[in-house]
Amino acid sequence: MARVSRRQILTAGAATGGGLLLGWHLDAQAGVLGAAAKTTRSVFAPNAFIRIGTDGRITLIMCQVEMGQGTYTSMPMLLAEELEVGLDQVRLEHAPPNDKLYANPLFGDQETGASTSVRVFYEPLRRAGATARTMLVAAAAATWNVDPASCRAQKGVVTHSPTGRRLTYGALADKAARLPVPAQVPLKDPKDFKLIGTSAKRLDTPAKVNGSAQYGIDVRLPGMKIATVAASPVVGGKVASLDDSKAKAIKGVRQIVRPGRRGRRRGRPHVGGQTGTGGARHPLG
Amino acid sequence: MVSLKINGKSHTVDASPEMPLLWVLRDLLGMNGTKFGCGVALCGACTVHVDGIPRRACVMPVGAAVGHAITTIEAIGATPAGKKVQQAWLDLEVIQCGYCQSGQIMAAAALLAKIPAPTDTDIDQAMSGNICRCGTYPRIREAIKHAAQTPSAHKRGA
Repeated sequence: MARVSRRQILTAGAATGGGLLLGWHLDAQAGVLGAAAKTTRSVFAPNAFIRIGTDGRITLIMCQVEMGQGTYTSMPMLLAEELEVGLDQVRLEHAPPNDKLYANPLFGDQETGASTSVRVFYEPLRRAGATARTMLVAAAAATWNVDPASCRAQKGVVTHSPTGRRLTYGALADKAARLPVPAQVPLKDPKDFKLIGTSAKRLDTPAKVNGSAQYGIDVRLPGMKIATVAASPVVGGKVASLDDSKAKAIKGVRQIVRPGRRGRRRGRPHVGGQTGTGGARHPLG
Repeated sequence: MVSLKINGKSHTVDASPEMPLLWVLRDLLGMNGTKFGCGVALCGACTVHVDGIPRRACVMPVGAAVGHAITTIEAIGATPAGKKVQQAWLDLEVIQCGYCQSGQIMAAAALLAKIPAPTDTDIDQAMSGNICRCGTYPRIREAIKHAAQTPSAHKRGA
């Protein structure tokens, strides 16, 4: 059998969605390659929340929906604090749907709501960041053949304090990806926090002033069809008759569906998120 | 077929002249920055500029836009007023969810292009048709004033 690299094994685990996926609270320790990681080479992805390319690109995977409540700033702060990168150094990416990797532990599925995001992800995301940082420092220390304790990470760079030697996270990504994922990593002492507890500029704003931010309504999938409901103008109204000939004559209209009695859902009022926040069940996060 | 000039570029789309401009932008051209809100010109989320005038794209038949210069949120930053408004929105952190803000920015940019130093009354009149569920109105007002005080790039010699 050909020698299989650790990364190939991890990729296989992520691709099949089983095996190595031990659940949200263990993924940092389990060393699951982020399901969002599209390439197996030249990427350091010690868990489902962080990806660092050899090109130096640092991508944070957002498992909670941004609805204006600020998760696309608070979640990155938790990760970046322990990863030791600046918020100006990261790119954000929506997490793919994956309850195993990204479930909100309070709900058991990948859900944003009830003001839980920071509460429940406070430690897991810090741990994810700390795991990545520990591995990057270990990679630098191995490169220089020095004690990891003599190295420090700051702003995406590992520095060997006694000699001043420096390596960027991008330069360390490949080596770090070959290291075992540590089971235990020390979290920072809160007195050393640089980001948590500070006021930060929102990271989602730039894309929202130029129209490039993607909302649920903007998503287009291959073969996707779009449906719209013609609601009764009165409560409890029923369809008396339906002439859909004109509607069908409109270009692009494929089907007019007349719901039967079973089509109505009773006793369960619709609770929706804001427009364009697909996947959110609660109006507030 | 309908020929349009959008953000300085010519587009020809297979649409009936009655199709709302918003549908053309979003569904036929994939320009998703302009948002669908109410569909009946009540909320302002779909605001675009037609010859510099803010218009509700959801109720404007595309046929009425032929021969006119259409500007959307994707290109408003290329105008002096639009650039200042976008920067003010960033400086003052106006946005929460952001869904209405393309329309807010388009309305504000049109206001400043017409009235460089608007009064509160001017702002009320220009912005009253743009609804924000997050309630960012106080910051929108503040950001418009902030943008109005920002010197234009060419005046700074930049």
